[in-house]
Amino acid sequence: MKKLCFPAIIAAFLLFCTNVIQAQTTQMKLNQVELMKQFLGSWKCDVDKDTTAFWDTKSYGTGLENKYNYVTNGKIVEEGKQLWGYDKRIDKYYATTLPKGMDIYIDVYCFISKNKCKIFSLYDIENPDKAPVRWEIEFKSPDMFTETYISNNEPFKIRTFTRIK
Amino acid sequence: MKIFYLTFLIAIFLSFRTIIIQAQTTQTKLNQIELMKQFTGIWKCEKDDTTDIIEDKLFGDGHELYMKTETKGKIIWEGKSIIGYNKKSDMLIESLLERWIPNSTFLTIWSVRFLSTNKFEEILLDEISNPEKATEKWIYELKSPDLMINTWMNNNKVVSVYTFKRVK
Repeated sequence: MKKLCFPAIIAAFLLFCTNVIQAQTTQMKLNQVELMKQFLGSWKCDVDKDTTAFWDTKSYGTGLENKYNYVTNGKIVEEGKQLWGYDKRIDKYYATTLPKGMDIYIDVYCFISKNKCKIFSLYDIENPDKAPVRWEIEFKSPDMFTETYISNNEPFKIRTFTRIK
Repeated sequence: MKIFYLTFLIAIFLSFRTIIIQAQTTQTKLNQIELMKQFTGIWKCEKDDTTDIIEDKLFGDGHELYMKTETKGKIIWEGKSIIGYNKKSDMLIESLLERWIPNSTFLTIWSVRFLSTNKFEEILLDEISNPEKATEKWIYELKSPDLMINTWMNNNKVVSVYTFKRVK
């Protein structure tokens, strides 16, 4: 009886371990599409003494469209449009930015935890951690996120966005 | 005297040739940003019970577009895109967020390159290193200011040709 019981305990233990590992894997595989929805809405950030940045992000299917502008003393000094779309092959979002009167560029967005997203230029996709400049966005609450600029693994600028709507 | 004359003639010939080569290079270097502006406006293509609409608006030197395909009055596909010049890559890039109704959305990124003053081709940015072997290719040609022909090619074979007329 003892002999029969021992293998059964080992089998049960192994089954339990398998379930734990499976649960951890599921937990680690973040749902990028769902997490990106945290960006939806209108946001503002005081980027300088007289300048405020405004973001307005709407959903478009599983993608997002964003309009932004920088206002200094009541005047728009910079504006642009963005399209963000999910790419299944890399399990990340591409974000294309067209600033008015400037060059178009493409960034990659990827949530690394439920509230933290890393961003880097498409040029650095092979080795994002060695990108000359990369960003990290962290949702401190549903109504506030910080954007940290990082160069050579050193943060050098932090902006705080708060929800307007 | 004869040798001097011959050398002089060769020198003139060489400098003439240089001028021609320079002129040809200038001619082939097309102004991508300016040429793209010809395509702004609203375009319509009607084929059987399907209508395709392209709305192309300027945004600075770039473009913002809305496109849709309607069959029997219902939208079956729509997309939003932005086109702009990227100096680092020295080309126009289009980012297209397309939606197959009801719920499939994806983003594709295209390189845009003018082949002549009235014709440009689009290749997926992933395939730019080997454009001859591009799986998918779109060619847009302005036959007149109010008539545009769009050709969709797959593995260098024509799949469909769309004739668009300018509405506005």
